[in-house]
Amino acid sequence: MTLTDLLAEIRRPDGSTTSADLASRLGVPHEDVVAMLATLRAAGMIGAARSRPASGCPSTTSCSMRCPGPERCPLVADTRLERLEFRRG
Amino acid sequence: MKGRRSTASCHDAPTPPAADPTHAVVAVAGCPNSGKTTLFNHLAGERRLVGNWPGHTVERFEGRFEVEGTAFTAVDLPGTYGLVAVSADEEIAVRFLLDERPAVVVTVVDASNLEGSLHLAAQIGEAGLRQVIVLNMADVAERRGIRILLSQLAGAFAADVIPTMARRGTGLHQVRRAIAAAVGGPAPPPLAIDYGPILERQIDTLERAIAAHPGPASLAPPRWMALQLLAGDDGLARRMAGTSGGSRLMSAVAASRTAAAADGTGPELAIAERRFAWIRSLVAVSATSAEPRSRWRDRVDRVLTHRLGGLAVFLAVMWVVLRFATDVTAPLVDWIDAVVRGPLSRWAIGLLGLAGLDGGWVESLVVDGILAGVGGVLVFVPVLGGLYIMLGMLEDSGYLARAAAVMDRLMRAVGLPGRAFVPMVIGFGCNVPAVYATRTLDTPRDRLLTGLTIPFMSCGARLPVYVLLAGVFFAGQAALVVFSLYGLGVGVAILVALVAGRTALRETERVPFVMVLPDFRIPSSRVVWESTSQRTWSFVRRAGTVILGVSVGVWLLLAIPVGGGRFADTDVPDSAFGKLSRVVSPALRPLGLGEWEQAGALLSGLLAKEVVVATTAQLYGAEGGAVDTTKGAPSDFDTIGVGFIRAMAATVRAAPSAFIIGVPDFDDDNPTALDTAIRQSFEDGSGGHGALASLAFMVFVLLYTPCAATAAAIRHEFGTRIMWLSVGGQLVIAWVGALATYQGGRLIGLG
Repeated sequence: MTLTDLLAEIRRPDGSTTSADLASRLGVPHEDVVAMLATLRAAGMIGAARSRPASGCPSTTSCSMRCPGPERCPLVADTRLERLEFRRG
Repeated sequence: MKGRRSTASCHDAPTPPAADPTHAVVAVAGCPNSGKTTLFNHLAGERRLVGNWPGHTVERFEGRFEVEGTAFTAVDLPGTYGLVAVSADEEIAVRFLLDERPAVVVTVVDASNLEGSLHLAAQIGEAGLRQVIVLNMADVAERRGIRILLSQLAGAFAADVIPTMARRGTGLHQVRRAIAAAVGGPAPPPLAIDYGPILERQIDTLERAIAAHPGPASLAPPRWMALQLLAGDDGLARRMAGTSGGSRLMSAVAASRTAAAADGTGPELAIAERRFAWIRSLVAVSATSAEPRSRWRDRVDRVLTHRLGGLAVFLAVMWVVLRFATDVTAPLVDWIDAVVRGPLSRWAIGLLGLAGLDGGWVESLVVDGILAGVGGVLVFVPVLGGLYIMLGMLEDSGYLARAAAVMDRLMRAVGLPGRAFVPMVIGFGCNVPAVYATRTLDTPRDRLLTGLTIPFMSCGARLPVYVLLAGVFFAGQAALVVFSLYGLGVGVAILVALVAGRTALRETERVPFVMVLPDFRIPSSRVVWESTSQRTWSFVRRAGTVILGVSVGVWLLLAIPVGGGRFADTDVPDSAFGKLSRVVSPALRPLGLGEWEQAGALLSGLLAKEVVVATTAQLYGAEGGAVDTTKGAPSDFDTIGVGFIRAMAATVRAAPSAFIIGVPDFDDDNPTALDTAIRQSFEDGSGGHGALASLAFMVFVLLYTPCAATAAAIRHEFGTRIMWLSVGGQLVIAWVGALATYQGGRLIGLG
């Protein structure tokens, strides 16, 4: 399977999916799909859904956990999920 | 696989600037979460400086370290997957690498996922930068039976390759020595990957065009720039266009891109394909796996992400989480309650007596105001701790990503974007950061729609209210009641999304996304401890600030007589608080909440939900007695020391019950004075339907404005008009929900 095949599968109009679904549909190991998505990301072909902590927050995780109020964390996301999401660029 | 280009080429890379061996700059680069910051911290140690990147709010970490007397400056770059920047963070990393051209780049690679993480190293090599490749998480690779031939990788990249375990500090000495050797050694030739005849022809054409212009050619190796321009690197194209001869060069780039796309595949994808093929062939000869790739994970994933099966598992998991938080921690809740109402209150009175302040309004403020209010909330620390331990374990095990995938389908069905589940999960902890987390969504419509639903996610602050009332009225089924309330919150959020998403906020475009499921792993005790302690501490801090302030405020209103009596010596119904609550009370009578105390507790809850419990404890404590003065009560030592040991033992004994389907046996045979006062008040206010009225009260608490901070967050993100719309809408929904619960329950003969 090539990156082109994977990209075509992602761009199917039926919306969101998981890497496990993609691996199952394309008949390849899950690890291969993960590596190929990272390659597409590195090539700038897809974007990563993520945010960064504001100044004063040591990390996005700690900010989301500490619930510090409106001014401390203008951008907060759950990093464990955030780093796992990719969206079409 | 093609080797390195000949150094005799007429288009050789510009040599990296002669590194100053006494103060060379070392950049630490890598994908996000590859462990690069941990490595940087080990390198820089205590000598770490923090600042901002010029013009940006992203923090810049610099540090100094020495190797055999030679000083180096290390710079921790923002995480980047490659040298094509998509986000602002990546732009900073890429610009630093290409403009500053550090003496050495330490490229951190995930040793357990070489195929997915060597892309950056390949691009850095192509850009002609000196690098030391660090194979981090070597222990994970080893556990998976992956053996890596370091010499093969080192030969292909012409760079030292060092395996490390950055978390444990293993391999760092070798990294330091490799850095020193790279700085002192000759500049390596740029890595050259064979991109096939069509692309190579266009690369060659562009390379010559770039080399013909002295300005652009000095930026980086011409071949690398040709590749980047062919791949559609907008940032580089903009910079090149502004140089001397730039417009002619851009015409050449456009022509080459068109020619390279002649076979139907865009040049960027074709380049990525070729580079990936090169990496794959390299990994095939340099890494071997002792065991075949596991398939059990795929089978488990099929169940956990199944449309129906996944939902059933998710509900079961949430059930266990809430059982653990509400039932298993009950002995510890009782212990803190006994300590606050017993020894703590007695000691406070004793201390005040020593100062000659006992018996007056100061004692009332300390005991009935502060200790009853703040103590009434702190009692629930074990409940919150239990909830956060379970959420931390689920998060770190990789399960929450599966739950997100399951919920994604549900979200999309009601018009919410799939990724809305992320802020909604955060909302179970606290609604405030959840509102800010909506910024990760793509469109204003998605952000607003998700922002309107988040207040219905039952945050941790509401849990003490449920536990208190469910303990009084539904002692045997407390977990079931709490579980149902969490479900109701999600249900109402979905309903709101359905209505708003099909009317005022109709969807225009859907952005599909892929959620990469992480490997399952045993949750790290350190991660779970950190997340639990941070979240629980946040709760305790609020008890010491917001709750303390509100408790004193409520006590003050309770102390002020309206129409007779003296300050701090007036009947509660005749106090300012009592009168104010009576104004609101008629509106709540149809909900079975006819007593003014209930109106008062809900009023104060507009500030923060923990305050509902604090006010309840103050109100009923004032009527029922906040201090335990039972004759024959155990000594303070027994209450604190022996009581704690007993509570811990009971909690440990009860822990397995969280995993058993069925109703736990936690009926409280010895209700406290507070329990009795609450029960009596709800029975009186509803004409004998106390349990139903308490359910209506909990539904109201679930659905009305979570707290002033959440309202402020909504205003900050969506404006004042939306904030009032949200607050007003929540009040109406809460009233209707509680009415339906109470009147509906009566209609069908419940309560």
